[in-house]
Amino acid sequence: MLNESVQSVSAKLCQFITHSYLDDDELITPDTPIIELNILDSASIFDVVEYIHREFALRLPVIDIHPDNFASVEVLSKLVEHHRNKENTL
Amino acid sequence: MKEMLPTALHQALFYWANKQPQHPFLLAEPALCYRQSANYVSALATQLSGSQRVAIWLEKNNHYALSILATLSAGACYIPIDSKQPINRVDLILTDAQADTLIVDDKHLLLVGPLLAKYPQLKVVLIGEKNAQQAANTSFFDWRLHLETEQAHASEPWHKNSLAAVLFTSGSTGRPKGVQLTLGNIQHFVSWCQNNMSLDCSDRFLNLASFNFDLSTFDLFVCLAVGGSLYIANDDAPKQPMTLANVLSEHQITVMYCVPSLLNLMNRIGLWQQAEALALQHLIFAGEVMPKPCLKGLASALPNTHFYNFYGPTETNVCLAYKVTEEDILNNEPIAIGLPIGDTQAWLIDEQGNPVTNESGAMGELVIQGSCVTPGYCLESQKLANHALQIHSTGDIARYHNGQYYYHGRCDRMVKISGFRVELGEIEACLLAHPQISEVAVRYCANTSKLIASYALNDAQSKLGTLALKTYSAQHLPTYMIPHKFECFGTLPKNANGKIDYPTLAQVNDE
Repeated sequence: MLNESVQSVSAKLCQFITHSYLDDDELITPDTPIIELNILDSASIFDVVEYIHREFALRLPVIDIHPDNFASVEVLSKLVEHHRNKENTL
Repeated sequence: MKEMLPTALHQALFYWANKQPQHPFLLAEPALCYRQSANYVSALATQLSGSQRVAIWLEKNNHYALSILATLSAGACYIPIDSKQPINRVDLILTDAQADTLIVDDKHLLLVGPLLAKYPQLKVVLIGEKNAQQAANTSFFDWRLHLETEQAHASEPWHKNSLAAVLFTSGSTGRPKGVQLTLGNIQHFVSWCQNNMSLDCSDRFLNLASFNFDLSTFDLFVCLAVGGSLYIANDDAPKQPMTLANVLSEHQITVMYCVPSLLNLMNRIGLWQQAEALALQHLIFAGEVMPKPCLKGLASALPNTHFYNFYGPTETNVCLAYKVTEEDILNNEPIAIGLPIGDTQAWLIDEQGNPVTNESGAMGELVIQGSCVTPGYCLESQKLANHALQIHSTGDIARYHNGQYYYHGRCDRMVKISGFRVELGEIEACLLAHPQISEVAVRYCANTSKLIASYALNDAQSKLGTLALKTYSAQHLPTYMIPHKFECFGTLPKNANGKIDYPTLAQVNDE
């Protein structure tokens, strides 16, 4: 079960990715395999990185910009939340 | 033409294993020197004895390269399958290439399991972690056992016309095309690189291209020809920029060959600036047009690196090459694809097939003749008569200007996506097989770099969901061929001949 904060990140990412890359009424879900279905590719991953920076004031470390971390919104949301928590504890 | 050396291609491994046994050959883990690699290859070649056509479906790593070399040493040809190919496509490849042997790792053995009943004669060799739960016809290759055991490095004698590889590329009719490469085809390109690129055994090559992509023949066989070292990056490396930067710097890579879209991405995230001291001497690109701003960015970040633009469809391997000059970096003109290499001849033809005089400004379809031209496709129905004469009409429009050829697009419906050849017809054939779709047209929008599928349904029902169509496509097509956008129409627009009107669709799609 995703916690509330992860859920909110997840909902925003689903909206952003659907509207940016699917041009469709049907929202992706947190477990949609966005790399496997060619919704995100190696270039659009960096658009998502920029969106995360804008929306959540979080600069993902380059080492984390790895396709496994973008496999689904669920995986990505947990990564975003992990870094936000880390920043908050500093 | 120059006499082939007895140590050519894969046999160079055994030559260097004698001459510099401890010299590193494979740099990624498990790192192996020439002696260990030759022992591994000889032992696996013995296990492959009697095989003629060996399909390889492994994760991209050292075992993949060594399996290729063992296959050639056994006198067989290799059929490389990308580790992420959907199983339906693997099925087509095994059938069309008439593979008699399949090399797999644990992961791919599980994936291919349900298919094996269809191929009772297929010999399966498992390069895995442990000798467990083998199916019938499956043998285990315990590579660790062989690394330190000296082997007789016998390699089957080879002839330049012997089949070396079958590389599958997108096919316009909906079936992938297996391009057959001979040892002579690959050797022609390797010899040219060896003679023209100032490479030696101190060079350290980075392999990024998948082994089913012809770019990989440079990485593996040119590295071997000069006795160099090779870092085989995994499949995801091009999407892991920081890992890539670390590999370039940690292994002091001197030679890198890739598609321009990757270099563009590396420029975009400032990877060159983030990487520790680099030793890159030769940066080669091919497979797509190199955008000039990207080249300028590279030249500024890597001032001591030589840049080359290689050209060649899979059917000819690399057949034209160009070394970028300082003037090219300063001006805003397109970059030439260069001039024919080795014994290659090139000329232009008009729409009627008549030769166009090679004077400055001439344009036409580029035709290639020479040792580089492959004998054609593995399916009889796909074969072209000209290939028997070592002539290949590329389908690429070129311009001859100032003594060099320049690329000017395609004269058919093939497009390049991240360097991969994509026949739009293959995507259409896949979607047309969907039970609810009655007609379909797929376009590539160059401005947005998106594949757009327009379709009509068998009966008046609401449109199919994009996610459902993407999921369906993913079962049949490689990821880069899955359309980005799907648009539903009552019926597709037609021209006066009753054929799909692509220009009208383009206007509608791009609105």
